[in-house]
Amino acid sequence: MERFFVKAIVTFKNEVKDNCASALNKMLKTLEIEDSASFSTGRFYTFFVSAADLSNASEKINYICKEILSNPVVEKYEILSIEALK
Amino acid sequence: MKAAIIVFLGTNCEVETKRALEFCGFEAEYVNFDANNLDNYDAVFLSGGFSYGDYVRSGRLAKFTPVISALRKYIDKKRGVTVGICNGFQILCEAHILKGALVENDCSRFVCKNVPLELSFNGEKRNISLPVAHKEGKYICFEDVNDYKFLKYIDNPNGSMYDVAGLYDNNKRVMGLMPHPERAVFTKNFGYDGKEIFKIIREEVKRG
Repeated sequence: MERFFVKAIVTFKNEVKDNCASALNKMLKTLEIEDSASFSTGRFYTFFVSAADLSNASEKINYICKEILSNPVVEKYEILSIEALK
Repeated sequence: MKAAIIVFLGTNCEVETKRALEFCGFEAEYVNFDANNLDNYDAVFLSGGFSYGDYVRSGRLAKFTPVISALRKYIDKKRGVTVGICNGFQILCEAHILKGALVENDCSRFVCKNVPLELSFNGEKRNISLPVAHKEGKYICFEDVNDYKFLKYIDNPNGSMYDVAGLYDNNKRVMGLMPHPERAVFTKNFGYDGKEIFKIIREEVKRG
């Protein structure tokens, strides 16, 4: 079995209002730092999985992201990296 | 009429729900999150609170408990009526037992007040008032759920789509609502309109 280190991020789908992002956009505008910051917020996760190879690891990671870390009705996830550990 | 009140780690409305149910003629008892059979009950209630600290998302982690697997079988068999109140509604949505999802209120604040609602049952509509207490109560669904809605906000406090305050599943055997009917039953509560909801639940159980 190999060990893999995963970085993943869960954010709202584009059609769902992101309250925190809206507040940050307004704040940057008020502070006259940036007029169109277009923030997007989410939850960042790092975790380890054990699997026979990268393909099995990828399947397991997608299951974890889809079923446990996000709600596909309103959220989307992105696997930022999968790093095989030596 | 026997009712189960499911208690997860972090549930905190089970005592008032039990009192209200007993007051409205139910025989109620607590059922722990590790139970694996609900067939003895005519109705199953998932009460409010912060199950598993609302970690990851509100209601998300409760869906992996044994009692939710038992609840899926209970619903498949059409054994009785399932009711999710507040966090219970969030759990039912996270488990995809009910359509849609609940996200943070448009105002970003915890809303705790009595709200006017329109209750629809058996083709009749009437206005009632119930307390809400939530921060993640904005209902979102990208398909039309107007036919499943039984409770509608008159003055939408959270930005819910279709003004949904409560809705059924396809078979009308599962109900989810954000307002707290158990907090509007007794003299010292926010009015008495909670009884109307429990009356409907009794009717649904009798309908079989």
